[in-house]
Amino acid sequence: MRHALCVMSFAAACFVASTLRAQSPPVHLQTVTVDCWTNTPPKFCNNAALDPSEWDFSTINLNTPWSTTCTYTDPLPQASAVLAIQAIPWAQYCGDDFTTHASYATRLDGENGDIPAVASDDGFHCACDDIVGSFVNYTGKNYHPGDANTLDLFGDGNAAYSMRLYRVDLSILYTDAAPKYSVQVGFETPGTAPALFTKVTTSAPLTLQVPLGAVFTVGLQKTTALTLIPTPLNAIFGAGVSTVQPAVPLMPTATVMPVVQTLFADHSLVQVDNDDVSATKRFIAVHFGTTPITMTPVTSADDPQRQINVEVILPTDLGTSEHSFSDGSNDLDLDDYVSNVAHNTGIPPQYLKGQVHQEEYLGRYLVADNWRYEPVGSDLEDVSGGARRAYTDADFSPFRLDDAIGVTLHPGVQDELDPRNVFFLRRVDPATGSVVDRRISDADRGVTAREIWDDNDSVTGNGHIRMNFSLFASQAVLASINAPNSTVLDFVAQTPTASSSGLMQVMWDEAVDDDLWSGVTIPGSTNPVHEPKYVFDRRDYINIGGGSLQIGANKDVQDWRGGTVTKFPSLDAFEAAINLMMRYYNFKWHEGPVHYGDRVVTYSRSAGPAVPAVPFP
Amino acid sequence: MKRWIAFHALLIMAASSALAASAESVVSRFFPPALTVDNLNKPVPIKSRHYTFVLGDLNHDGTQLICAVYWNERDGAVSVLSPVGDGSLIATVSPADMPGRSGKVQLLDFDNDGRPEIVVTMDQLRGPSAAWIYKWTGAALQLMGPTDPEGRDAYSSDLADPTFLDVDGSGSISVIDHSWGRGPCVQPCDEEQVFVQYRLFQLVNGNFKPSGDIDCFKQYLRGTGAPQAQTDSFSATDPAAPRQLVVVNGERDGSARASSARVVLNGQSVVGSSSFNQKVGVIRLPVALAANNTLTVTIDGKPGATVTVLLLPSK
Repeated sequence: MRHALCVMSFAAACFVASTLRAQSPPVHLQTVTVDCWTNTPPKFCNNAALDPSEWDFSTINLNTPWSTTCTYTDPLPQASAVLAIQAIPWAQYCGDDFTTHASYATRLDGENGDIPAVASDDGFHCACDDIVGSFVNYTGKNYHPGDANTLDLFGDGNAAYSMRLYRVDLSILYTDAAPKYSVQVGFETPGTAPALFTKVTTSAPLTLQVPLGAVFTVGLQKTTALTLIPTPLNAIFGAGVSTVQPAVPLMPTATVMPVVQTLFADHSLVQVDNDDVSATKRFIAVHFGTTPITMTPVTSADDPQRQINVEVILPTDLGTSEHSFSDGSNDLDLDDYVSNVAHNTGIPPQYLKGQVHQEEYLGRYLVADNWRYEPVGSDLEDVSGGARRAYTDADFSPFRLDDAIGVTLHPGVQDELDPRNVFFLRRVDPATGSVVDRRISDADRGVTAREIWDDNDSVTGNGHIRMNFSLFASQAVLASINAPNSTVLDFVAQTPTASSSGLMQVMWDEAVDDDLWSGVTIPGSTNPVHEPKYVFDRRDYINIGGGSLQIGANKDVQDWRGGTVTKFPSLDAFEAAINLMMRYYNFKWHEGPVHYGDRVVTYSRSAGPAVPAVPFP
Repeated sequence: MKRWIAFHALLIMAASSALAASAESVVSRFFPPALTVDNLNKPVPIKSRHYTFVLGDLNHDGTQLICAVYWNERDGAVSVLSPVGDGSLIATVSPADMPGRSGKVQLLDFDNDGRPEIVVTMDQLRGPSAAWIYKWTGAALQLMGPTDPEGRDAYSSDLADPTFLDVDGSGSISVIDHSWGRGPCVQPCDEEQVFVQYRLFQLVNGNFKPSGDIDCFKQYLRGTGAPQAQTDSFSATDPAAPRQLVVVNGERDGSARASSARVVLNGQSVVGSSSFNQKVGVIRLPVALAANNTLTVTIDGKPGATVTVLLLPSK
């Protein structure tokens, strides 16, 4: 018995190791003792010191054909699949000094053992401590888990003497027999292999959490006891009715909701894939909320439908850098800000962040008071000149310089007059009588577009920045500006309204559009307030309904040319629609063949939502 | 946001004649249905539906037709209508890509055949305007190019902020396109990075085809006071390549011509005042360029005269 135990330990380990696979589902080991062989009383070697002395046995004469059968009920779950069975018949050959062993046959549920079992004498002739097991293997192909099974032992009668048969120990390797179904989600990041996650699913819907903007595939896989390897199942995918969260405040501290324009209003996911039967289906997350997706396998009627509830959540990060920006007093979470606007509009956040990048101006990529004055394209052609909105348009005239100074634009108040102070001008210093090249101050009056043009278009050094206004002007306009003694720009520069502001470089023309901005709510004021300064992306302004990001994104929505469709045949098709929408923000912006939409999409590649650590909570 | 109504009403009034008065009702009546809903299929408010138009003898048969451009503050369309009787719509196109906040339409005879072409310009809130040049076939509008390679239909134009010039004195009008973009700041970040491109398009078999990039394109206006030299500098990417200097005197219609002007290239006088008079429309001559060049133009004569200088690849 000592030998047998030793051998059994080793053999069981090998047995398990050689049979187990790395893949799921897990393999279980169950030991079963089959013992129909008793001889009571007396027990063998009664009063002997060794444990085997307690074992019952049956004596079997080997010199005539013999058989013995034991039927037992297996303890495995009925829904199990047996992978392999190893039997150790414990026996003792009662031979003599010259006849040391006898072999016999075994059969488990009609399946013959791979080799004969052996009963050994070992020279002790059925002494008390000499019980030896041998190993016999079965595939278990006829086995009945959780039910009655029959073990037959038999001999042909050609051996001498007898043997004692004590019992048979079975080691059964099995798995849960029912196929396992699992959902695999793959998060796609351009340029890298998809990040894959798998979760076993049951008939109960499985929750999958994906970050807003995530491009991901879902698919159903099946793992059987035989293959042990998950196999994708071709299926019909159906996205059910979404539960979309209402528009959200742009920051945790915000108390006023801005007006929002929305794409894909009733869908938290947009399918970016065809409707063909397939192993996976690709989606992009466009709104916070939940969408059920059913997957109905077409492979077999036995393969059940499964459902996942895809919950779209706030991304932890967008891209790997530039997650915050400063408004001068506070560091603001850019990614959350962008994501909240993205949810409100349905524009995936990576594209909005890419657009913020595209609106970079003089390295002021992430500056709340990013600001640019347009002396020609806006002021000459539309605000002071052209339609003369500074004089004819009630949305513009309240901020007309210099009339508005002290009324709506107050010297010394941040963001009212002072944005223009980034520019230089040359004026006579009354104290010295000399022309001084200096920055504009809030105290200056009558600052003309000409003064700004002349001292900021192409002047370098001493803190000057070449604005290159002239490169944007048509040659006819430029000729009129450059003509000797030209008076074309001799108007007071309408810097508050002939300009673009904030992360999205929103023009005042856009800010006064009620569909794009509802203004800010100020204590004591019954009506929303529209003032240019509130377009800057400072926290205090965002809190009360200001900031450029939502306005600019609303403009994007207005420029959407994809209609009301909520399904695209491919991610490329979806992105082409996004690209076109973005292009309309600055339709003829070009750098060679690269236009505005191309550039936004390129920048979006660095702003994708971070892959969640635990998508299946 | 309501301003375009008043603005264009004024435009229309200014252009009105007895015929145009009825023409406006025709134009108004045929507002393109495609522009009455926005991109999300919401109705476009009446206040956002605009149009302007011109009348012209498109068929060169003495009959006036109406060329109208419509827009809804986002997209545009162009139509040719007949003012006869109650008026009728002859042809219309609503290009997939004709965005803009306001539209303009003008007639120009690009190919000098007596039948004017239709130029539609859509101003953009940001960046240069976009333009479309249509040939009127007598029954339909055809884009004469250049077409936008990324456009969504055959009416997508690739023209931005165009200038129309007779650069070879033939009476045929060429197009100079001006596109630009801005780039990230380059340290020490003391200059806004701007990419500017001027392209020349000329008619080939009735369509505008690229005729190369332009090294230099400058317009000069004679200001008040004594004549003054105006100097610009420019670089040439391939200075060894042969170039031609084109000097265009005044406007296409012969107005605003200078009686005398001088052009100096890299310190060398290339066009003297004796070459100029008010009958000279275009001067062309071969020149050599350096990598970095200086151009000086002095316009004499009456204020208001214009001179345009281009440096083009030699053909």
